[in-house]
Amino acid sequence: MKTIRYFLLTGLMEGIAVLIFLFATPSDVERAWLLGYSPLRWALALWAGQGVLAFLLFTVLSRQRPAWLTLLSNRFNVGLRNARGFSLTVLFMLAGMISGVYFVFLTNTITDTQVKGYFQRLLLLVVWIIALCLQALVAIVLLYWGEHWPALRRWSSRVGHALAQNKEEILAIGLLLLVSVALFWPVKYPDVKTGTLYGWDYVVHTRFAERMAESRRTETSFFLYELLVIAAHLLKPTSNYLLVSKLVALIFDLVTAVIAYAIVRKSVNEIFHNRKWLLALTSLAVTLSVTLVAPVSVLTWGSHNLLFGYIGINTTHNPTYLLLKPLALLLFLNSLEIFTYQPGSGSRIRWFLTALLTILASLAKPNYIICLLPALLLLAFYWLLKKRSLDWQRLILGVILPAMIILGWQYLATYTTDRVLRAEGGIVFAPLAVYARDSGMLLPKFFLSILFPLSVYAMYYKDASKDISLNLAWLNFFFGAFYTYMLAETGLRFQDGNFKWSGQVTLFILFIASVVFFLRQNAGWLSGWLEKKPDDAFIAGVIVFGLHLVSGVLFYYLQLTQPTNPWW
Amino acid sequence: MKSEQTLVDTRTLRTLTWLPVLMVIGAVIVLIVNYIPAWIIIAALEGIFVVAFTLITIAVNISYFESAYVCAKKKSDATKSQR
Repeated sequence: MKTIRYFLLTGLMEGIAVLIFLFATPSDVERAWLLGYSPLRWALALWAGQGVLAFLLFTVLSRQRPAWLTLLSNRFNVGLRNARGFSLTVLFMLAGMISGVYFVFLTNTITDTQVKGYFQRLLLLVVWIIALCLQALVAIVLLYWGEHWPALRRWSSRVGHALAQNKEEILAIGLLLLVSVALFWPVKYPDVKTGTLYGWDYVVHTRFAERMAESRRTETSFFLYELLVIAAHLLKPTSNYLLVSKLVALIFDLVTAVIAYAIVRKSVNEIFHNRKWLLALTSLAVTLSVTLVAPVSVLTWGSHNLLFGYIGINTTHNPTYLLLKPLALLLFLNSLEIFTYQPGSGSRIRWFLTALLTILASLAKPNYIICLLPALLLLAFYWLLKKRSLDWQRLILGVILPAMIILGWQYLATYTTDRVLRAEGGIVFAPLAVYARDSGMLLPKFFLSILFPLSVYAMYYKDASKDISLNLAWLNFFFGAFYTYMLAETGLRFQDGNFKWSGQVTLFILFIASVVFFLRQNAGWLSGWLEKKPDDAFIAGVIVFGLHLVSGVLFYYLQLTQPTNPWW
Repeated sequence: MKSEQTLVDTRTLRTLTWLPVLMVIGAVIVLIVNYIPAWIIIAALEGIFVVAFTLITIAVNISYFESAYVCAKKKSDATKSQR
């Protein structure tokens, strides 16, 4: 009874507060009728109030309640009893606070007078919501205070314990994000600091975004980046569209780094299982290296050639590629689960998340999905031949179906109703036509681009041929390299060399898969590295990886220091 | 081919997958909120709040009145039995 008294008392306070607010709210001139409210609003309010009152009277007073009402009432009771811990209190509080702050913010910032009229009416509702939340909070806290206090202490000590347990991880991820920002923010084009614009790709996509925001029509068939830039610009971190564009790309750089860290950490965990600091710092170092590696370009340093003719891995000048990288990596990881699936395991929405990723990766840049699709079909065929279980639902509904729909639309939108170039075009089989235009020595450059993954596969052939992730990554890359070297677009798009991105993104994934495989192969030796002599294959692998890393650091350094002449 | 070893475990993968998906969903919501005429959003929000909080009020009230009813009934039963 004490609780009910509190509840009713706070309810009375709530009613008084709402009434005061009702009279204090200025009238809405355009639709004013009584106390500034339009007749429709009064009718609705009266109807709602009457309905609630009637319902309450019916539920409380009626002796012969229908069965469904008793059931409903019991459910509410059980629900409230179960939620008496923190959830209900927190839910009420959050709902009230968020909606209250949101509406107060909107009311103060909105300039349209007609809309403002609506918000003034809405504020009444907000006051009621907040009062209701506080009312519930007070009632619940007073009722269950004895249980809440120890629960709060238990919860805080659990959180503190978890933080202390994972301090190495938290520090490593924090460092990873900080270093990634320090590395990838300055190297982005355009150079906002000096106001000069070197990076054509950033400028182009930012202009697309600006035009799309104005016309509200898609300018390109892979518009995810533009969409994110428009949304970010609407949040107004800055009015400069190019700066917002750079920020969006940076966020996805960070997402890539975090995903790569999670992958690397799992394999490093097999080596330094009980040494937390070593595990965290090694994972951090390997992840940063993977985000910097580039083709081994030592032979062409003299001719200032670090990119053309090679298959780039971590190029930084194209924002849609930076957006595609994390999405492609996640899609690759999700696709792997199609083949590791155990019937009866996994959640029902696993295909749904994969389908979302397929759609997003295609809308970011279709270059990855066109490689993944045939690779998955080939591997699925092999799996069928071997009579192994396969997650068909995820394969068909998660990848094939959404990919076919989006790719079909993109093809039609790009080559038949193009709004950007307004020119005819298509896809043709033209071996080396795009690559040979910019560079020679294509065969050695190809092998120097994939030196580390190739060496790893060759050195550990027996185990590598049995590793599902490595083989899917290689299959992906096979198609990526095929598109890169053999296909071209006709018309004005020929010079863009858009199929190059297929090779780049699949090589990035292949690199990560190879690093993980390499670490796992040497886990036994590395876990006791102080006692044993290093394995020859390990030393060779480290040297080759080092060559990629040195080339990557040089590539990065030149992007940073001389963006007008970055030795491409 | 071995299929046991994946690059990340399923739980981590699902968490990581939600990361960009939620970013894009957030962006789409921002776009929708900005491009749909303001009065539609206001009406929809108002509708949602009215319905949701009416339901919550009903739920809370039913619950409290029920408890009061049960308490009162117990009390009256106890008084009756004492008599």
